[in-house]
Formats: sequence, C-alpha cells, structure tokens
Amino acid sequence: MKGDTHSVQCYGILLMLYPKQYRERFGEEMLEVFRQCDEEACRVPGGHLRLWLHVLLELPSTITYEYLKRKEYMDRDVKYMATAASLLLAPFFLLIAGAVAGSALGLPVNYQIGQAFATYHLVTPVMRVFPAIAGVLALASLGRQVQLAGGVSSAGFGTIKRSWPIVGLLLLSLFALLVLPFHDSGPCVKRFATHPNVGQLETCVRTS
Amino acid sequence: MKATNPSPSVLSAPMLYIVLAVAAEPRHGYEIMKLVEKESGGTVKIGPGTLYGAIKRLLEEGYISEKGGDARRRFYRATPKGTAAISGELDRYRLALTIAKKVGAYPLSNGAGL
Repeated sequence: MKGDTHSVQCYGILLMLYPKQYRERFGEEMLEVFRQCDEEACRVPGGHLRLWLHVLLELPSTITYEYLKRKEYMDRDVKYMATAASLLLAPFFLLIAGAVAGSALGLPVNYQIGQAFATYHLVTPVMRVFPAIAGVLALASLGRQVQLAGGVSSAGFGTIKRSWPIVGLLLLSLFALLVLPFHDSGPCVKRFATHPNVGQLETCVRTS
Repeated sequence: MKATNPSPSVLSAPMLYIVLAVAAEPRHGYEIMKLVEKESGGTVKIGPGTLYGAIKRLLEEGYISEKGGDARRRFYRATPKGTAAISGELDRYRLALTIAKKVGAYPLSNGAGL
C-alpha cells in the first residue's frame, strides 16, 4: 500500500469490508488488479470517475453476496439479498462517490459536504423506492425460507431465527421507508388538528 | 435425439467469459478482465469484485484451477470440466441460433443482428 495513489489506498480500505477468509485469499490479487486499472485510468480523461463508479456499483452487492453465500441459502435468495442490501446502501455509496469526485476535482471539504447533502436531499424522493424494493425482496426470501422449512410452524420460526440477515434487512428496509419521507422537505411547522375518532392529531406542515 | 440435446446452462455470463478467457492458456486477473473487455468490443466490463467472486465459484466448482504465480498475481487455467462446460454452452447457443434462423427470427428484417 505504501507508495500507492490515494485511489488505490481507498480501495485497499474498502477491501476490508469483505469476509476475512475471502480477503485473505483474493485481497492481494484484487488490489493488484485495481492498481493496474488505476494506472490505466490515469491515462484517460475521466477514467478515475468511471473506474470508481463501476467499483462503487459492484462493491455492495459482491460484499453482501460473499457474506450470505452459505449452504442454507438458495442462490436466488442470496442474489435477492445482495440486491436488497445494495439498494439500502445506495444512498451512503452515493455520498462516498460524491466525496471521491469532489476530492478528484479539488473542491474544498466544506463545499463537498454541503453539495453531498444537497444531492442527498435532491435524490431522497427517488431513494424511497429503494427500501421499498429491498423490503419486498427480503420478504420474498424470508417467505421462501419459511416455505422450505414447511410453513409457519416451530420449524418455520426456527428458520426465521436462523435467517437473521434477511430479517435484519427487512427491518432496515422498513426503518428506511419510515425515516426517508421526513428528511427531504425542508423545515417543518407543527400543527394540531382534531379527528372525530382519534382525538387530537399532530401534523407536520412543510414550509418549502 | 437425446445425444443432440445440449446440457442445461451451468455458467452465469461472467463465469462463461472467464472460462473462455482461460481456455487456451493460463491468465491472471487483469489479463482476463482486459481480454473479456477487448473481445466483447467493450460491451462486457467485469470489475475486480465481480471477477474474483466468479473466480472463487469457478475454483470451488472445479471449472478452473490455479497455475502458479504469487499472492499478487495468480494464473488460472480451464480444467477439462471447464472446457466441457464451454462446449455445452456453445451447443446451446448453436441450437438457439439454428431455431432462430428456421423461424425467421434471425437475421431480423429491420437489420438488427446482421
């Protein structure tokens, strides 16, 4: 890593996200391949941006795939889960991509952070679709696991317990779905309204 | 009839391209990546994550094997099982192409596929 460019060093750090066994077997080779891609990217205008975009798009799904690739999950479920995790992680990777691009363009850090959040607010409405799809995929995988275990019985509940990564993804999707809509619409003014059945309701009126 | 039926597909698209790339001679990761990109006219680009995920599965299933190198640059070569899998895949494509030609779906009248 010493003597490598910042780009290669960043990739080396991201490789730590892979499972230990996988990293020990393929980490050095992956880093070497990236090093050569990085050298090539230096010679092409916009090469770094293209390279990092490719890397950031494939990284979440390949990392999740390696963690979930176990005997007890079917291939299709592992693919579903990897897609679900990628969708959930997409906003964070978007921020990282923005930071890498900003750094490559030599923008000051304050400006980069401001722009990253502005971009995040701009794309948040689109991002709501991601956890919704992720939730459906996780639910489909969980349903199949339970079905394979013979329906919702003691064995089925045992399967749910064993399938904690799927349940975790499902809960994360629900959480993201609940949280995202309140993040993008500017300041909020609290108002109170009276509902005939429920009583007093607190409502939030967006001012922009 | 049975003998002419190609075996069902066992390799995903990136896995097939990788086995094809190492069928004739041993190659390392970057070479495989560039060969696939070049020979596909730039339409197929495999990133390091996808490449090594596929290599791992191909090694586990015995379609390719290691042929020397060091920790930073290992060489891979297709095994007889890998070569047989390529033949199976190519037979499937050949059969699909024959059917497409027979039913007039290839080449298309609008010029696509020519």
